[in-house]
Amino acid sequence: MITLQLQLVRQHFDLNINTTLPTTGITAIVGRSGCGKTSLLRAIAGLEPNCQGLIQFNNQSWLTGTVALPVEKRRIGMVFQQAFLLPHLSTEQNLLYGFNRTRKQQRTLTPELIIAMLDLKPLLGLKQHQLSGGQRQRLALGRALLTSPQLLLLDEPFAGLDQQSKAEILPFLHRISQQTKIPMLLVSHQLDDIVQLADHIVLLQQGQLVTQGPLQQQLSLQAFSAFGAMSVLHCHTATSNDDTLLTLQLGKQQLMLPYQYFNGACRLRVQAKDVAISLEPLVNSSVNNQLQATVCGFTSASHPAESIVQLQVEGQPLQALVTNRSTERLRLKADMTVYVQIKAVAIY
Amino acid sequence: MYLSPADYQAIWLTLKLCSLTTVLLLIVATPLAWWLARTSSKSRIVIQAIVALPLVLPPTVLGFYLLLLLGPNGAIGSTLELMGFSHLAFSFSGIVVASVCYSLPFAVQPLMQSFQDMGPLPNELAASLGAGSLDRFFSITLPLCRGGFIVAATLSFAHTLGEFGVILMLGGSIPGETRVLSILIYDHTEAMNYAAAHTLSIGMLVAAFVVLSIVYSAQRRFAQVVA
Repeated sequence: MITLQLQLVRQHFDLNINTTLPTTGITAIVGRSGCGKTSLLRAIAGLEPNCQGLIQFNNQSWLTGTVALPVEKRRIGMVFQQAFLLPHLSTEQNLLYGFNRTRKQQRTLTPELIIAMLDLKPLLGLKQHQLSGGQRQRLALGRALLTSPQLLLLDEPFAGLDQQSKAEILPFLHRISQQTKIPMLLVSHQLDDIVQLADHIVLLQQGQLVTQGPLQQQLSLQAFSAFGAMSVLHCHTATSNDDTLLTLQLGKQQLMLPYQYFNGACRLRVQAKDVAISLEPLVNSSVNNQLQATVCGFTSASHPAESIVQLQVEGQPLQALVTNRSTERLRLKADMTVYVQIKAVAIY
Repeated sequence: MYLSPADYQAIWLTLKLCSLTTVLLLIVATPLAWWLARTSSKSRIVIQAIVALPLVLPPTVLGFYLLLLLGPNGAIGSTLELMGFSHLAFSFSGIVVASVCYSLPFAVQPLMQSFQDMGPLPNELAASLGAGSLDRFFSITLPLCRGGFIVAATLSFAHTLGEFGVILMLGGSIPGETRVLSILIYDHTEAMNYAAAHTLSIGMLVAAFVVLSIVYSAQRRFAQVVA
């Protein structure tokens, strides 16, 4: 558990956070640019000398009043924006900089393991200018991990990366979290990027905490609709019946998706705009994925003519963006059983 | 070209003064430049102005105040005498102190510039990777600001080499103690010994040229490393 009670005066806002964050899985800190996400991450790392208050990591005290534990004693791994590599060191020296400064008895991750986990072998002989953005990111990640940190802090790990580099780095982050069990705090201004990874989400606005909690539940909150309403569904098992289609088990119901690449993960991201609602199951439709759902309530959408229908599918929240006219036409009410058609799904 | 024993003595004294001043300056200027490059404190402007004073003040003014301060009746000089040491006017130690003050901006400016160019990120990263402050200085700051340190050292050395007014005011012309090359050239000229003055002057001219060439090549190489 990370307990935070911190104040930090900045030029454009005051950061004021009182909360506790979990130390398991991946916690994402989201918010618009300049809302204090990076400042919060830097304060937790110990890089904001003017930060006051209390930071407690499990049973260790990192900050009490103005007495701060130095950064190098916190045993954190940090990946800075744009994956900064030390320019006077080779790629290999960069990778091992922290490892060489970690006590032998504290080393839980070895270079061999990290090189294999992040597929770094081909990068080690290269010069820094030969590395792509995604490759630098992987190297910076490996360098931070090799200090065997108690907490991994990632500042906008996807900023400045193109779609392909992003797709390259995501599975690695997922794998690290699964295999090393190191808790991660990840800052992003793109909700899209982090729903694929995060277990827990924190929303900041103007230096204040708006809401925080488990990702799936939090996404249904009004506060997140500004980022484009979406839902995350966890599937239990997945099997592929042939080379082209993948079957995912969602409670008692099934979803079928075109086979892209499958890494064993069963997390689906569904945009609210890709979900349609009908009162009866559709028979003559091209949409493959049709699930039975229960209406829970309604929240307003960004456009006044639309609203977001909050649904439950097999106990999991799902949002659908529909026009107010459709809501009235179908006479949608809470506790009603409906059928949802999901047009597009992203699988992670 | 003929050099007298007095000339050799002055050359040796000058080299000793320049080397000692350079070492002391790097020790003093590094933390000062670091603070100036990083702080957002308002007192920065005052400190920066004080550091830059020797650039604009006539050396005689600086020498005059140092003489008052370090002499037998000055605050520092009298304190030293109370503690059983001698005061610093007209002594080698005195001109070392004077040289450190006089050349301070030449060490602080390039160091501050290179610390600013480096930015806080490399050190923050190194700290997050477990490097303590001393470790960070040697593994990050020193290699990344190598150019700044070379420029600061050579400029301090060269500027001390060309020092005249301050030494004349505070040190006078005591052979083996305060009579450095620039003073000796002055003495030779006063005594109408133009040949001797010429020999030493040519030597100084060549030395200054070499030192400045080192500075500019270091700056260029450093710029390439950063690019």
